[in-house]
Amino acid sequence: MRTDNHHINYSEPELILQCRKGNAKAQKAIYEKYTDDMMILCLRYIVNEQEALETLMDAWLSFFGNIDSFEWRGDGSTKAWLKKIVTNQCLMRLRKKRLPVVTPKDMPEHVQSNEDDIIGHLAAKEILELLRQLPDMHRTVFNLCVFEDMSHHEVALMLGIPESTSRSYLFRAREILKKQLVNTRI
Amino acid sequence: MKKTLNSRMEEAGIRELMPGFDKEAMWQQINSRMQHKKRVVLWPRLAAACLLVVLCAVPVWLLTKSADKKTIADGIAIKHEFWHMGVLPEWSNNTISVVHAGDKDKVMITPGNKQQNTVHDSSLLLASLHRSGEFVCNSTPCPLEICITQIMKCADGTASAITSCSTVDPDQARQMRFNNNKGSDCSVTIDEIRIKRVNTGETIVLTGDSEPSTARELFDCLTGNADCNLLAGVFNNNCDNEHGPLELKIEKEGGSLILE
Repeated sequence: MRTDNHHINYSEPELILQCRKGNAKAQKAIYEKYTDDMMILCLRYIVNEQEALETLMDAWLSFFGNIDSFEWRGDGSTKAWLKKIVTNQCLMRLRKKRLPVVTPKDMPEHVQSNEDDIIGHLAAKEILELLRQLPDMHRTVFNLCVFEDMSHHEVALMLGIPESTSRSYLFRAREILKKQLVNTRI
Repeated sequence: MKKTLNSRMEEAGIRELMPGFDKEAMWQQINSRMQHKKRVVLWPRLAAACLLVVLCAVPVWLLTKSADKKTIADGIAIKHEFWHMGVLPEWSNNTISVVHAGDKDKVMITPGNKQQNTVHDSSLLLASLHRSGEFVCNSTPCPLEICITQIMKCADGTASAITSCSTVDPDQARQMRFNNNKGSDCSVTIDEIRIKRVNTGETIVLTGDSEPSTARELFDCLTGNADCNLLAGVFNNNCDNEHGPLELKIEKEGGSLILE
């Protein structure tokens, strides 16, 4: 994989190596390559755009600050590591806002749902708008389960909540999204 | 389908989802914060390095200094005669301590029958002993002890005689110690200089009116305030008490004072 960004023609492992040495051009090349996707990721978690920008900045600083501990393991490994850092930064910011952890009620025991049935046919901007109308905790669980493809067990460990609570949040998030869609169409 | 949702979001691009996103401005901020962080990180490292150097240097300096301190403490003798202005009690009860401060060796004399804190203002004598600028080389075959006695009179009426002794071995050179009165309100005058042959105890005493040289003349010579070429005195015997009269001359040669 070669990138030709700002006259830097390094492969990604070489870019990472240069970043470790503090090469500003290499850092910018990595930044240019991934920052759009990471901004979208932040916007899914954090409603306020300014807060999302600050979170992404913190994430990049954390990425470059800890790049010595990163080991390149093939295509996609940089993005995966970066996504992990950005997600953690988003969760940290949400934790600072003290996410309200409540156990939603009225949840059926077994829920099978396909997000495609609910929001799959919408445009990306519409999906983002709907997501941002969800309460913080519902949106966070929805993001982790649906977009990051995490199990309820993993989500529960990450957020420090019981698995049943994670399931409840996901169920309620879907319910809210359905209602919002109906209201939008009306 | 989950993957589809995720990839659809990314494919849409930031321009559609957040048209106001200024990537370049954000990079400038990140870059400046990284530079600042580098500087912030660098300072503690520099401070730690300096601290390490100091921590290593201090013990070495202390070891060097402590050896010197012992020599100075040994060399300091306070004359038992003093010009008593009604403040100082018996010398035997007094406390004499040497404090090292920079290149000065401060001698503090505290009367023994008073507490130090009450004595401090009225009768604490503070003398600063300095090494002379001149090295004195002993080219005689015997070790010589040179004691310089100075009289210090202070504004509060106290007075004292301070003797600083230095021993110079044969073919060795060292600087003499004396009070140069810097940083003090007290006036200092030269009283006498004694040059003793350590082995025999025989001593040449130079005073204000001694012959062939006075204490003042020799002192000016030792401190580098006057040209030297004088006869300090005569020893009756050599180190082993076997030889006849021997003159002790002092002259400047090659930048050093030579005792011969």
